[in-house]
Amino acid sequence: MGKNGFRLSTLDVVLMGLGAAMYAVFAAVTYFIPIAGMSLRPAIAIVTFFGAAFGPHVGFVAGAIGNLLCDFTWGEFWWEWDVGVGIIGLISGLWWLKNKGNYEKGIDYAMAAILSVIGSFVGCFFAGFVDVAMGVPFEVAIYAWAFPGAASDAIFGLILTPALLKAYQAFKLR
Amino acid sequence: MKAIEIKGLSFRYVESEVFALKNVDLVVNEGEKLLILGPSGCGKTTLLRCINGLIPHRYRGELLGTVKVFGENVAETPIHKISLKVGTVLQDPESQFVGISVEEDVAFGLENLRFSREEMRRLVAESLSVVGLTGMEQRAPHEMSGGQKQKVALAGVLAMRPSVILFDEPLANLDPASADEILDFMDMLNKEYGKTIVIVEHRFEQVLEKGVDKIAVMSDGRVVAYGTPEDIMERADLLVKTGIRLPLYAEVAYQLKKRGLWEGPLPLSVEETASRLKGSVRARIEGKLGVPPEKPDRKPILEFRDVHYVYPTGVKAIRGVDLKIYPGEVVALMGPNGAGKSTLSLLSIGILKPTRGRVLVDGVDTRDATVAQLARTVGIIFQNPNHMLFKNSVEEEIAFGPKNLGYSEEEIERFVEQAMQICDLKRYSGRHPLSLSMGERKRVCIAAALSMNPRLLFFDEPTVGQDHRHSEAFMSYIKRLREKGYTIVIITHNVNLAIEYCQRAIIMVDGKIIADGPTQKVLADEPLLKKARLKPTSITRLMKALNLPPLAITSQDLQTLLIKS
Amino acid sequence: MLVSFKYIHGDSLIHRLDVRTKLFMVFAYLVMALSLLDMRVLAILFVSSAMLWPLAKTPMKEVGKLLIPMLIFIAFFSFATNAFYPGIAGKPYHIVYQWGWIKISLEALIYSATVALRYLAIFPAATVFIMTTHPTKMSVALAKLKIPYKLAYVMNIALRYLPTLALDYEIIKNAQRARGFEMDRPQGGLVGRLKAALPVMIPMVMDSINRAELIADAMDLRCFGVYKDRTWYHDLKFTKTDYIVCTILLIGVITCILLRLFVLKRLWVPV
Repeated sequence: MGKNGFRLSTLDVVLMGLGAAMYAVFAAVTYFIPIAGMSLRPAIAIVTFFGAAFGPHVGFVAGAIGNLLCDFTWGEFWWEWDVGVGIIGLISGLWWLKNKGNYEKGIDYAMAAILSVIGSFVGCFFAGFVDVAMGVPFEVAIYAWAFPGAASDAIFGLILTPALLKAYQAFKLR
Repeated sequence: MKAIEIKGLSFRYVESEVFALKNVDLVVNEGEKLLILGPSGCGKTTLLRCINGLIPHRYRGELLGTVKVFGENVAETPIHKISLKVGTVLQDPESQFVGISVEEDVAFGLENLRFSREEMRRLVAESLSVVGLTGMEQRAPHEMSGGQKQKVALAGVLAMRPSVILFDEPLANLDPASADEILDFMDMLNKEYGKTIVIVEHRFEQVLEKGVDKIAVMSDGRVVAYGTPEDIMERADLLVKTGIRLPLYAEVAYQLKKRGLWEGPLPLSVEETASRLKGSVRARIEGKLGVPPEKPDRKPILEFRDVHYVYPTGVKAIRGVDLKIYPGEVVALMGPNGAGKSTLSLLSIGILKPTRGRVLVDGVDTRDATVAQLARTVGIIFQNPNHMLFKNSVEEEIAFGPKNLGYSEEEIERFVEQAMQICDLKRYSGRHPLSLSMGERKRVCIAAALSMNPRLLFFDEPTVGQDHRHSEAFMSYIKRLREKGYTIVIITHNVNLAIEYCQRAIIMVDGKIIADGPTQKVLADEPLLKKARLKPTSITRLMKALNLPPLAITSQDLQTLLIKS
Repeated sequence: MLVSFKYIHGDSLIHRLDVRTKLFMVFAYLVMALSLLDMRVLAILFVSSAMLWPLAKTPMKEVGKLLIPMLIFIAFFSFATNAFYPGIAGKPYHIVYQWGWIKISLEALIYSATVALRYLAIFPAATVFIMTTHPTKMSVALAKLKIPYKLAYVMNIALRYLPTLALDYEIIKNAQRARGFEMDRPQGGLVGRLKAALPVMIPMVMDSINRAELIADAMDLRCFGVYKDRTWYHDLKFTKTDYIVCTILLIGVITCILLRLFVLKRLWVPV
């Protein structure tokens, strides 16, 4: 952050765009990894990873635009969930402010995993409460939509984010 | 006037300890066409970045010396001012086509420079007509071939009306016909529009064919030779030492010269080689060559019986293919993009099942077997190693396949060991595969396929984008596999590679096999190759010019013949 | 293609509207529906919103596919979760049915229906927006709405590389299948199953990072981001129709807010 506010580099713009597109591709194709009869979406790990590796700004935009692209493929417009997924990316990227995407120690990976869990809950519950405010019944918005969404995102965030970060750390040396 | 003037230029990237460029001096005059030759890692891409301003404006590091473009110091001029004088066409067509449609992409630079809409319309139309893409304004990138995308990139550069155009390995991802088209455009821009052209390439022969004014040879961050093509050819030893492949005809002359059978400078074209050889050498090559490889009477390892394949999207990828591959054969599978070559490999391992007809792997119908079962016989090494690697160590990566196929612990251990042995990967076994160099990563991919203990291997474009030295190193592993008796199918656009390593060539066009036979014969048939966007090597053309039966053989073979005669 | 947009190509009044008008439309319906708890007005809103479907020439099949599940879902949950709280809309309330501890009040039933209707009123506007707006128009619209153009261009990059990445996904999936790995039949315990995405996800993400660097170079070389603003090759034109539509919507929004403030202050109960 400079004195003129946040300067977005060209690479940031491209990473945001590719992150969003990849989230949309994964959301479209991996809706059925069968676990105990539930269909879970690992796509969220793309957003948590982009946040953790390239910063909260990249995480937020990749998540929000990625989910908007999903809206375009489903034919519905759930802006509150677009923002919610953005928030997941944003919170996952908070540790980046400290380590600038350099994942060397165990603490880095632990923080990325923890933040992606926190982010999943904050993001999904944000969307849930907006739904409530818009008139969706509390039980539907929170118990049927926000909570399962948050739980599933949190699990994938927790397991996949560190794995992706580890690969990225090695890839940087190429 | 001097278009580009480089004085005492050295550069070290901020994350690196060594200098990528070391004290480079170079002058390019206005209207000149300069070829910069050099193996990967010699600093030629860094040099281009110093000319187009990416260094120092985007890449940070230690910069010594100066680069001036039409008298202006690049380091002190903002990048948008430089871009109006210097345009750059990059290697990968996919990543420089950033617009959603052709016209938007061509307009991209103009949009950023705040041109008015009317001006943009005019410039876009003008540059598209120069590259011959008028009428394709609305096309999306995924509807275009690599060559067409490269032309769009060129149009986007032309729209900004630079007087200097830099090309960074523009031919690397193209088939021979598309590469020739791009080279023709360079020539036209140079001759008709007076543009100064700088090309960075290691495909020496192809660039030389269209003519260049000057050549600079780079090695290890330095310019080690500079001059006209004639000057450079006189220093063939240096070129070879640097790791640059001479044109094939010059390779013949170079070897003859070593034996005192060639006098004077090395030739610069097939015609020159022929005219100088004609008087002195009489070759007789009846008999020995042109013999088809012996017909094996064994059971084929792979058989296609009237196979058709239609993708769910409706694209008819394979339209009636009959094919038998025998154990121990090394086959080149060639043809333009979209001819169905990759589909053929996917059908062979059962990832795709034929819409009509049968595919038999070792006698087993692929429709009755899972991919995991077929993978015990067939392995595929995909073109881009990044598409495969994901484990935390080389050893785990190689063990991934056999574990999925359900081999026993003891078998897995043995196969992994063997695969690492063949690919010389033992000392990397604990390293993270993603941290290895490109060549090493490609070897991990071979090992990851070998560890499943297959007998038939498909290689998809094994050497694309790699320089001569790296290609040769990689091919030496394929040679090793050939000697161990593996059956090998190589999918490639590279005619000379097919000639050097394969006995049999199959040519596909539009989902059909249009030729299948001994490499020597099939790859010498010019009209046939043309249909597949390929062309005969200069050796075949040289033989024709010498009134010899035109065969597709290696430069080594021809030179042996000439020495014998 | 792997990822296909719900955009339905066509030429209708709605298709021709400026993207900004359509965005405003979604926003206006949101505000109007949220401002009131009055079934009469919400019904009018729903009808006017549903009229957008024929106006956009949306095939009835598509409408049915989206609307019917939504209708059932919203209606069911609105009633199931609100109808059993007799005092949900305030006091006094009138019990219309009682069985043991279950009490259903007239006000709760009305409230449930109102909430369901409120959601339904927003729904057609949102779907029509998605179905009549080609995603490529979004970035120009965003830029024209004074959103920094670099952010607006993210949308362009995402749309440009969506087909490329979908193709990469296919290739990578095939590369791993050739190694005997099937993503939809993962091996191993629970964690193994949760990790089933990695053999495809890691290669795809890493290759994209590599590609991102190449794309950023290409864009820098063509002067992306050198000025505070940029021009756009494609234009959006605010036509007379756009002004008319926006005016009508604005009147609607103001009316709803005034109604809420001065006339229909609370839940409307027909008695």
